[in-house]
Amino acid sequence: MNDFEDSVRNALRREAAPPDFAVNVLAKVRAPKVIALPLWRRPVVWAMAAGVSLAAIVPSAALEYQRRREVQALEARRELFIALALTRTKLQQTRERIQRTTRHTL
Amino acid sequence: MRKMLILLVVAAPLMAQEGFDFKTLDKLGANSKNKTNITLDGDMLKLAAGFLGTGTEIDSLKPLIHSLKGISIRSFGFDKEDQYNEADLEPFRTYLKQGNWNRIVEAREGKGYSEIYLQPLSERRLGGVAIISAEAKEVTIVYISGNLNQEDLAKLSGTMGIPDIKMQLKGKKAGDAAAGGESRSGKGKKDDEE
Repeated sequence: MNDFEDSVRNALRREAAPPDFAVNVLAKVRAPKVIALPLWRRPVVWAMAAGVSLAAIVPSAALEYQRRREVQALEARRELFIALALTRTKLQQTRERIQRTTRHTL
Repeated sequence: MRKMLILLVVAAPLMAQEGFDFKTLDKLGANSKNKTNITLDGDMLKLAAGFLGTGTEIDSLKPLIHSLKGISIRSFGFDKEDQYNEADLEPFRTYLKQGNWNRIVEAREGKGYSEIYLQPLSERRLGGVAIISAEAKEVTIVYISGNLNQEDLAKLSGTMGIPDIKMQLKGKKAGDAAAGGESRSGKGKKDDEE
């Protein structure tokens, strides 16, 4: 019985790890590879560039739109006045024509 | 199938009132020397109204402009007499008849004549004014739609509120514009030039 106990104790006895154990384990764990992307491939850079471009384009596009709208409005106003003046002229001509023809028949 | 046919029969006159295609009047001006071509839809009228400026005359004009839905004008001037076919006006007359427009004036004098049509909406309201004015060397079609009252009509026919055309056309003769020195469309699209 004592021999059996001794053999079990002997089998389960604590043994110190070899001195290079930790180094070996760490060497086998692969460290994540850090890839340094070039500047032009970084999404943040692209996002920033897009932001800057938008900031430059949007106000100038808005200004251009506003300018075109104004030109359009002035042209519409000019045509409106011509249309109203022409309408007035034609209505007056009709009135005069009625007066003339009525005078003849009377 | 029968329902579809009924729907088409009912909808056809309404669809016909959607708007007159003024391009059908282009034949009228085939031999014209000058033409005025103005088309201002509701959006363009609103746009123009925003740039009218201020002043007593302009302010009195604003209610009229706000009550307008569209203006279309075709005016053709000719070198000689008998350069247009009166039958080319028939599509426009037919359109007016279908839309329950009433001819309130027809005045003939020599080779010239004038017709004025009004579209009654309800009591004291009008859906528009249309004018056909023909002379020996000139023919003009005016079509104004909106929701007008008697005061608006007075403004259209009188001088009240409507600025002198000469004031609006710097560097151009008023007569040229009125007689049609140019061809323009208010929708931003240029119609066929001469």
